[in-house]
Amino acid sequence: MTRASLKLCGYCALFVLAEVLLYASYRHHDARFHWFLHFLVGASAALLLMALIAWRRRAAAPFPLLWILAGHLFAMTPDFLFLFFSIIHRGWMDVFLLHIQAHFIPGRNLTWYLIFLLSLGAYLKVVASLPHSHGGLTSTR
Amino acid sequence: MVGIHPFVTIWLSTALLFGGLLAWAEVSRNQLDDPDPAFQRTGFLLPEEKLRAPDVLPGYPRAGHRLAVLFVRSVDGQMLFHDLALQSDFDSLADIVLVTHDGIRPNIVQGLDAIVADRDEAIVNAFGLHRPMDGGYPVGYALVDRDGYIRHRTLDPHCFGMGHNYEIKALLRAIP
Repeated sequence: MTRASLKLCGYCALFVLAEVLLYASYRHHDARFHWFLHFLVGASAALLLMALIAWRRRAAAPFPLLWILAGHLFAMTPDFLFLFFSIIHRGWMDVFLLHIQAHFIPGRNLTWYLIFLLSLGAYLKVVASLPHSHGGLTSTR
Repeated sequence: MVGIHPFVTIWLSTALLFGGLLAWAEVSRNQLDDPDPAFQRTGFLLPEEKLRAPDVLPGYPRAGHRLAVLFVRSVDGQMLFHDLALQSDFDSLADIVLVTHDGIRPNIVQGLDAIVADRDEAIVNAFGLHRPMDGGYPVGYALVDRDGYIRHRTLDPHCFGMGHNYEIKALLRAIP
């Protein structure tokens, strides 16, 4: 196995590990709904932002999985405030990628799943149009 | 034969993976959960002075006191000491009323201000808790502020213990 392959495996494994830990952070709070919700919202936002940057700069953003993880963490921020500081949710927390209103979108997580797939498609389409585009989501550069 | 672009493979794989995980999440839900998960354990308060608590619990809510009403189907045969002991520190934050569908009283009542039977389901309906997925008696809780308004209500199959106490306490502390 080449050094590049090992680097890629480690990068993807770290992303998966981080997401597993985030899922575990919801272990007392209906994880299957809330983890999916904020992952799909945060990942969609990150993918659209990366697509926009790639389109403007004609170069893919480095470490796309880190962008997705960052989007997820940002979308989850009010839940961290609740979990670690017992700060309940307030209306202003919608600044964190519609943290509260996102729960009530018609179709719930199915709608966010479709938005996520559209965002992923948009991102991949932009990256595919770039010269030397081979990495997709697993690029480490 | 035309090859499939690697990015199409990535998109399809991701769609299948997350579609499968979402389907698993849906079929494995607790039958005591709210059919609409968005309304379960929202973490925020209902607006002030909007939903007056119904007058269905004798003596509660008391003026100037918060109230936590816990709804369960039965406490028959349950070892309540651990769960109720965990919740006993709630009583510094609010009056606590346990409402049971079958009317059976727990053996240990420490930390509870009242225990009320709700065989005809009038109390839980008056508080407006949603019906769970199995259509039976709701398991969850409602929180009332010092002015007698409902500020939070939710289904919660594990409102006894299971680490949810921090959540109820955080909500109670935020309620005036």
